[in-house]
Amino acid sequence: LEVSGEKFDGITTICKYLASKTQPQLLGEGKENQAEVEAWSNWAITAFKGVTSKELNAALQKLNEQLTSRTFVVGNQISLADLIVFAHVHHTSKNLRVKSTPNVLRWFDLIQNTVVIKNDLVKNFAPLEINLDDVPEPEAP
Amino acid sequence: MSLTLIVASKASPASFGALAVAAQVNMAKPQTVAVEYRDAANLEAEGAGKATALIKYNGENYDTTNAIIRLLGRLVPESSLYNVTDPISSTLVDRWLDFAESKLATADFKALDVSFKELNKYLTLRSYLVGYQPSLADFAVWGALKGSPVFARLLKTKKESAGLYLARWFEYIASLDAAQLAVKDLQNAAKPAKAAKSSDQGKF
Repeated sequence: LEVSGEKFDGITTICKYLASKTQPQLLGEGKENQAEVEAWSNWAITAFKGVTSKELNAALQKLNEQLTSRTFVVGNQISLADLIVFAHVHHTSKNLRVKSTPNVLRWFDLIQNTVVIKNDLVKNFAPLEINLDDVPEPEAP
Repeated sequence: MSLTLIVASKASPASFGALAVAAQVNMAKPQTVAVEYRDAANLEAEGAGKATALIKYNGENYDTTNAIIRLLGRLVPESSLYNVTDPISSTLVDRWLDFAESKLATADFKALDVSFKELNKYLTLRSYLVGYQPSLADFAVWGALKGSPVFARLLKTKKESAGLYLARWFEYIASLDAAQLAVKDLQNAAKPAKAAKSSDQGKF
């Protein structure tokens, strides 16, 4: 990405720049959330690319845990972290299972419906078909 | 169109659902609903019997949470709270409004537990009760749970037994501006005496 003679590289830097110019709310509300958005964005870039299937599973488990008590990855609204993590999880979305990572699957469906389908990005991110009612009985605590 | 929502500030359970929907409607279309509080447990003085929230509109009384929020959702389609043009989605919303009224307005712990489990399972793969944005269904069910001492205790002490998916959804809906406004407004209305006292104390 080149802006008025200056070059920016790195996915997070580019995304951050574009977000700050157009939709600053995507960067997160407040300093704490902004730092978290950045941390998750950077994490996604290394956690999903060129990793073994064991590492991939560990990454999905970590994401699943984060999404247990949260609707979005950071804070209570959609952020850059959701978009960047989504883009990385999308490659492996066929392997998402309701049994092992229900929260990731739920979040994936939310992002694909609110971002991908609404903005007509279906060509780049083929939607995953999910039966929302095909869920196991939650385990007794 | 000018609407006035009258709320009994000492009602139990409190009218959180109606207040949140009113706040959401006002965000979509500013100053549509004025909210007035009555310092009482019900609205008998308004001729509304035991009702705790009331809108008078075109000579009719809307005096239950569901009647009030359906009216608001239909009159202000901009709020996208009640997708009336889509028969499936509005029917699903209706189903959850009925659920909130019939299954959650009880103090029977066993019956509530069954309802919480049903909600929890339904929310496994859903972020909102209907579709992909907040609807009347979310605010009605949130309001009923918010007014339930049984649910409040469960959420505080044993989140897992309330259901982790239900807890995640509940806390998310509670974090929305409309829900926060509803809670704050009602708190302010319910404690005017106390607030006045403490501001007095500040002067000394």
